[in-house]
Amino acid sequence: MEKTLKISKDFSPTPGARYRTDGKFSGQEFYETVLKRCFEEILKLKYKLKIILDGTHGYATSFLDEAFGTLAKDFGVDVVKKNVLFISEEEPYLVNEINEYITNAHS
Amino acid sequence: MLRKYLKYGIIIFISSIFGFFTSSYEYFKFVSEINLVDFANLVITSLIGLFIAVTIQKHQANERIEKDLLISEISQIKSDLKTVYTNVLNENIDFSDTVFTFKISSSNLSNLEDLFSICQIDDCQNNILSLLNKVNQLKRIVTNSPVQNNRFIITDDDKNLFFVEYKKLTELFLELIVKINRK
Repeated sequence: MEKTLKISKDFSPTPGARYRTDGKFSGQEFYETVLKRCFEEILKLKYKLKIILDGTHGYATSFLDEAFGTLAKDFGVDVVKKNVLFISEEEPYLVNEINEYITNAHS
Repeated sequence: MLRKYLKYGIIIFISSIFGFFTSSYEYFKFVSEINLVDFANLVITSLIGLFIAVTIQKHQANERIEKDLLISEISQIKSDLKTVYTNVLNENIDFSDTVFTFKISSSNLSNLEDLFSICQIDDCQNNILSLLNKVNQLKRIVTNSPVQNNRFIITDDDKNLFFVEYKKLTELFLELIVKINRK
């Protein structure tokens, strides 16, 4: 089973920068209010989390690094990689980019 | 002006002499008989020539249209990224516009890959991949910077790095356009 999280719908179509201090809809806000809760829920239910990246105005590197890097730091790189699936038809390259942030969060 | 007429005069003079001698030469004299086999041969050869000329011309015209389409798509991406370059140069990097431009550029580059396949130009995939990597590199330099009043605040080091990488990007675009034209 899997749970779907569509960032444009479940968070904002205009994701912001890294920290809350940078402005609205930051990576930090996304992690703390949506992503962390969602991830804990799927771990409890033994589901997979499907994250749909399409439909937004675009992502700043700082947003992706903050949100998914923190997720990997808090839950472990392997756990995140095993349980999260990223989907992006508009920018297929984003998936590799995010995986890189997750991997680098380990060091 | 005089030189131009002199040139034509010389050409007419040489042609007249050539015409005079060739018409006196027995193999160039016209015979008022028609050999049916030769005539049929002439007609068929002409038709084949005409068919080849029309087909090749049409094929070449189609190829040119496809090449122009690809080049115009590339030019659009290039122009979008030039806006980011100008904004970095002027240190006026609007958050939303920049993030959106990078999204559109990456997305269009990915679509370009499909367009190349449709046009049956297959060996440009590495070029597009290099372009995607470079655009992503530029995106990281700019959009990983802190934000103030909905504007990216970029350091001088990052700015210089951006210019170096942007130059490489324009070279990659040029390389791809040359490659398309040589096909």
